[in-house]
Amino acid sequence: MTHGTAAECEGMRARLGAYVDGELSERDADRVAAHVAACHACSEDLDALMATVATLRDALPRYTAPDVLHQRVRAALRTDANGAASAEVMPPSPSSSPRAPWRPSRALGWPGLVAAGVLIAAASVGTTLAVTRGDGSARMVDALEASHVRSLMLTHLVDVPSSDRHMVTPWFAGKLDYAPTIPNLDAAGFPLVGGRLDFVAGRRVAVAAYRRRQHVINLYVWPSSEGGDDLVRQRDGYWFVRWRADGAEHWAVSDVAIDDLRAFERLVRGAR
Amino acid sequence: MSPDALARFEAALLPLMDDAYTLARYLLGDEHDAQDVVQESYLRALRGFDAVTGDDPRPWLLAIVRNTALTWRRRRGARATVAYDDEAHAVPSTSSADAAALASAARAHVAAALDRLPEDHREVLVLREVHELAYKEIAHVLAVPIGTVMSRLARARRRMQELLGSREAV
Repeated sequence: MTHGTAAECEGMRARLGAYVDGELSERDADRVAAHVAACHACSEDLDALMATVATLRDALPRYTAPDVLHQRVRAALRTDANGAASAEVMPPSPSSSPRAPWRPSRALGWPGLVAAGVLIAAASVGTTLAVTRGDGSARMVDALEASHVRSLMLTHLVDVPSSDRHMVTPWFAGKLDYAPTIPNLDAAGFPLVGGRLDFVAGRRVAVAAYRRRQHVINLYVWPSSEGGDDLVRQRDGYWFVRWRADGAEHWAVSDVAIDDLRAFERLVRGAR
Repeated sequence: MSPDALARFEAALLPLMDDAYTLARYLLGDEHDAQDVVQESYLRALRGFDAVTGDDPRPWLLAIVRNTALTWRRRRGARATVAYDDEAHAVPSTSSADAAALASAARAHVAAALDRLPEDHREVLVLREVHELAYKEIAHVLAVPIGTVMSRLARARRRMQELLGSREAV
């Protein structure tokens, strides 16, 4: 058997990759091995290939799915398997309006950034499923969405525009039979924009609007004796976090990244 | 869907989430987008689970992840890049600080080179060198013939060899 003819080497070179990857039949692999043993040029090519492959395998990371993703996926699968509407995490088709900032489907001359975050997420992905059944929370989400659209049409985010919670909190006192906790989160990068009253699912609720860079976070609070797990949902690019604590139900709604919103949640929960 | 069917799906597919997330990250570059795509992929997989044949669901799931990621990018108009992330759970670190620093620089160098490849070369390289899929499986994920996988992979490796600059390992 002769080695080293140009044509033969070319044929061998084309198979080196498959040889390294163990994809050749035993017979073909033996042929390559035999050729390489006797052909200096091809043996150098093989060395170079193996070095490159080794470099790639060492240097290209394999990522680990974070816990929050595991939770999200499990929750989404449960919701889907139970027949509820699936979360829309996919961006809209190109024909629809851009995701952020959100724009209403009817052109309403929206003032812009401050208003862009007043949004209520609608359906069905939770990181932890709430104790309440899907029906209850879906109805609440519908109500919040309606409230959101109304607030957009009125083109105002706040009834009492004040970054001072000592002005906002008492403002609610005359209008609601409860006093929502509105923490000062300026130092953490969540300045208060103001407060407003809203009407959601048959109740008057206090809403505190915060800002996070260019985004708005709306914090809805109303009294509730219910317990239950936290809920995280997403719809149309907006995140929607619910928790129950201190005798109240809280919803934080925004188009900021979920990490920011969860950080906001932790800060609010931690504040007294 | 019955709880039993869901349990079977979860048992078969949830252990593959690292694979799914890894591919999504390489295709999209952004960890949040990757998470959204992984979530959507699992939902699509759930709906199509009845139609799965064969022993190994991994290439099947990765094909779904890839298609979902491409749809995502098309709708967003985003350019895929490999985001070099030094918090990635990469190879176990060696004991010495020097080795760790070298390894980190090497990873950055390789990531930058990978980013310069055309999309289809990058894809095939990731599926082979990161996911360690067989050629047949790669062919399934990319929906191309095995011959195409082989030639594309060979070209991609040659190109990486050029970009990485020399014959010796970094």
